[in-house]
Amino acid sequence: MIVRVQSMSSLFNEVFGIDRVLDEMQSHPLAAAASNSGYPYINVAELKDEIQIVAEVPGVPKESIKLQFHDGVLTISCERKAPKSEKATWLRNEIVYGSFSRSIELPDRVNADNVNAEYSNGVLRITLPKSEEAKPREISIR
Amino acid sequence: MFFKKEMKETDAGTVQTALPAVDIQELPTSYVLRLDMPGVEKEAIKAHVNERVLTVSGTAPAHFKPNVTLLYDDSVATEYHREFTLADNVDIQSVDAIYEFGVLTVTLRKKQQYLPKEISVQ
Repeated sequence: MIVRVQSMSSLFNEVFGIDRVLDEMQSHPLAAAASNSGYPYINVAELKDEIQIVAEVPGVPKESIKLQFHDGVLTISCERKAPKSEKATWLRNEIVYGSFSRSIELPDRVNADNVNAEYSNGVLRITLPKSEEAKPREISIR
Repeated sequence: MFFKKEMKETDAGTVQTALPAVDIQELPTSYVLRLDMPGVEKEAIKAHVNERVLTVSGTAPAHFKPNVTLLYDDSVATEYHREFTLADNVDIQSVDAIYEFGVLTVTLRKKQQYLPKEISVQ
């Protein structure tokens, strides 16, 4: 029988905070729209041994993504460059361009020294292993 | 938000269909469409023109396996689908599509007779 010593997910929900930080100094005319876009979209899931964060960053090459972990907060920053369009007339514009950043506060129970990030088709997957004490463990019944 | 989501029940479970965000630009000789379809493999994207309607669709694998505890989710769409009615000046024989960084770029050329012409002044 596996007994969870402490429910990681309820703890995580309490301390988990999403913060959107947007560089207000952006000069791009679409910056105002960008501030409401929620870009990049993120999804967070808890697995047995790790936390996985999936960020959708369409239109952003790998080289334009920055990941920073500091004081228990993971920050994803990226820049989505607007297409060159000197001779173009915009007929529709639903995609937002500019600099974006989202910060995710992680619980202490994540091993920050072992973060892994993979990029494919505009999707960034960040894997954060749980620290040893956060993993479910078996308790023998005497 | 930019995505209209609708729930759809399928045999495989719950699938969410999203209208991918699109940018459309008109250039002197073409139209360029950019559609955000992150996570879809290039091979899983379909684009075709039928009766002057351009249909773009693609299915992305789910971000997580079923029964995983989700702590936060902004986007659960796995299916993208959007249709565009093309103007008469689009040459449907010359449609180009490139998929890169999760964005599908479709280029539609204008028919020859609609292109801007230089008129020499005598």
